[in-house]
Amino acid sequence: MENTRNLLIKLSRVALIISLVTVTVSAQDNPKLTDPEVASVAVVANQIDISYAEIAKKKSKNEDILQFATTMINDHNEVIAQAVALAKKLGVTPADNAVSKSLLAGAEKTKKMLKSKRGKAFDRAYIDNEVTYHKAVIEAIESLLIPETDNAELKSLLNAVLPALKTHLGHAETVQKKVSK
Amino acid sequence: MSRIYTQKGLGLFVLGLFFACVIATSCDSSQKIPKVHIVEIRGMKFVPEELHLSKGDTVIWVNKDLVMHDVTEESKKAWASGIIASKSSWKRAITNSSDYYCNLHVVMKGKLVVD
Ligand SMILES: [Cu+2]
Repeated sequence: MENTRNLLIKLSRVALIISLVTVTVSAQDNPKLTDPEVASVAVVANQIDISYAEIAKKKSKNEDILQFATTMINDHNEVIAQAVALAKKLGVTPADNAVSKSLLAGAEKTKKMLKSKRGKAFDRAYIDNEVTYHKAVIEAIESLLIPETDNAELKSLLNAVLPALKTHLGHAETVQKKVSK
Repeated sequence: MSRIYTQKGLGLFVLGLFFACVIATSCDSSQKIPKVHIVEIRGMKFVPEELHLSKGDTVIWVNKDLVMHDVTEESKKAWASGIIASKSSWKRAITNSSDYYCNLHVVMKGKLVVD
């Protein structure tokens, strides 16, 4: 349980890195999160990408963007299901906290920006943000969380999620090239 | 009498030839019994990425990932599996060499080579 707790603290640092990419957080604002709060952050990070995809499905007419958005909704919902299942197994109930709130605040700004755009400009803004967002999450998981994780279950979940995120990034970059023409 | 025996002998010879043909044919066709190949989808990859097979062989794609995938012929979308959910599979008899990809994750690619 002590191991799990340490890992969840590390996970909170990862969440913070992600939040730094999407929203500016002051240097001393480095909250130690409880297990339920960390579970919330993991769920929120995936929900944010789903919410971007839902906007894309409403606003875009580009077949490649629509297909990509559908995949984001399906895959990130699956990751949420896995994260919730693991949280349940570890006896954790997701709870709101400063990091999940700052992630959501950053997402609100991005959503506003996306909603203000139309046509090709929207498609470009959406896919550019997807490339950035996936890069940030991959970087955080790969360079920090996996090397420091001792918990076998958490490690295997992260290892299972990472190839999907990398494939999403490759997919996003492919669409980005097409859309920028 | 001897003519009858000769005819019988000829009849047996023809019969023998017939069975020899049947056996030869069945031996020949036994070499062409279609095989079943498995392609696993895991870690967002088709494993093996390139599969060599004979015309008429069946390929079963087994999705071992958490997320759903599909299998779509690449050049003309000549055939497609539809969604293959996690822990599900889909099969198809293969007649031509084909490049294929996952239409849900377009960077996932595989290749079937009919030798
Ligand atoms: Cu796929």
